[in-house]
Amino acid sequence: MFKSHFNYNKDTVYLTLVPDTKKFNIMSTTLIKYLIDFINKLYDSPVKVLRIRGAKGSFAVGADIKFMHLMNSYDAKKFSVLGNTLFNLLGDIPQVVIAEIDGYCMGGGLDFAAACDFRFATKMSKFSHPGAKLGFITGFGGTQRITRVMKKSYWKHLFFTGDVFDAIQMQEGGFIYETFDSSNDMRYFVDIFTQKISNKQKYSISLIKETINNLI
Amino acid sequence: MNEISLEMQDNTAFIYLNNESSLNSFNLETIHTLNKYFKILGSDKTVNVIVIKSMVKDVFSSGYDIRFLKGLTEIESKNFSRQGQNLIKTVYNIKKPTISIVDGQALGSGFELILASDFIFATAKSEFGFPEVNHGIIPGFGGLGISSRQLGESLTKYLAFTGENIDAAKLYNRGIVTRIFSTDNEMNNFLTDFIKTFSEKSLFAIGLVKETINKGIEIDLESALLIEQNAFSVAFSSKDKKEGMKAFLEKRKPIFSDRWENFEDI
Repeated sequence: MFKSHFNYNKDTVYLTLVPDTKKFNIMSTTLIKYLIDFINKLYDSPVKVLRIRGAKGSFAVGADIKFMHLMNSYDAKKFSVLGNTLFNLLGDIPQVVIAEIDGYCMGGGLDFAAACDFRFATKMSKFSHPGAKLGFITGFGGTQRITRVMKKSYWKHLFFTGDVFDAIQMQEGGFIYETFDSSNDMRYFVDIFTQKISNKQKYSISLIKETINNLI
Repeated sequence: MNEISLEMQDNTAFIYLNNESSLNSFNLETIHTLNKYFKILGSDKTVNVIVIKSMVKDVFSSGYDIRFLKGLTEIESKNFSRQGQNLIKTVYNIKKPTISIVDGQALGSGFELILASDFIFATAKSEFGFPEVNHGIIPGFGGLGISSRQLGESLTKYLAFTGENIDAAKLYNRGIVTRIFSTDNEMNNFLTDFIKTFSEKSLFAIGLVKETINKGIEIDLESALLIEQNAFSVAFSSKDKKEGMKAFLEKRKPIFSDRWENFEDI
């Protein structure tokens, strides 16, 4: 299970995912369903920006291996459809979605970040797609979204080896927009960045997002 | 030594370009031999990784063999281009990691060939480009398309219009060259370690991710996501997924066994 905190100011909603009994934020069926429900409610709200954070050393680390270990192909397709529903939603909503990564961001968690409009990270953050080490590939859109935002040599290395990348490598590869020494620095920067978006008209922001998303 | 030769080291196949007199330029025979080798290695269950490199000093490939091209009729040149494109497609679609080792010039068809590979290691002095315009022709192996997608449209046009070379550092910044080395020796040492990383990886998963990305990158995101969904589902019926996850939970190294070559056994 997990806990989530969220609060609104007039233009921005802050969503913080906090792992409960588990060490890291795991992309479980429960969490994904919760997020789909949460994000669906944003559609018609006046909010312009959605900021997503993890807690306790992870943004999100993907699905539970113990859970996936028991899945057959039929279950896998169902799980993949569920994940795709969430991440397509992130692209469809009129809000600008920002991932603030401080810690582990792996597997399905990396796909999560890839489905956001902007990704910021602290330099302590770690990224990987471990499929080549585990004998499968990701099913939440990462092979398509990450390859559309990253430079070729970086995503080839990421997917073919399962190696862990640091935030600077991910920034060089085009995945992370800016890196920071601390989560406070990141928060301060994103506060200012967010203001630049939230002082614009909601309709024009969402139109730009829709137009760009349709082009890539 | 043959103009193109093959060598196996453990589970890695090395293809060596060794035609010093023509500076590894491409004629029809070169294309046929390379295409044959890549196909054989792609179907060989003992091969995990394919490396292509030159044995000629300071040159990976000088591009097209102008003397050969000069003798071609129109229909023969069309065939030459198609055979070259077949080679590039073979390399691009091969279901195992391919690595190009460049120490010097990789021009024209040589540049097209390495763009189709997964990883490009290059020494700092290496240069890349499309010199065809200087000879009144254009790149014909599909390089303009691959290059436009990977280097971007404007840089590809610049290179193809001017025939100027671009250095390894600029291609590294663009995410085309994987890594730059100061010496050939340093590059070969790194290569040895890099190849080892694949011995503990699922080649089935690597092939699946390569297929999924190669096809997905060409189409709209929605259709691309469906390809990934179905590939993800297929992976869950593989032995590698069961072994990989079991090994992870048991905190041991996995022993992978699924291979793409198995799909060729009918």
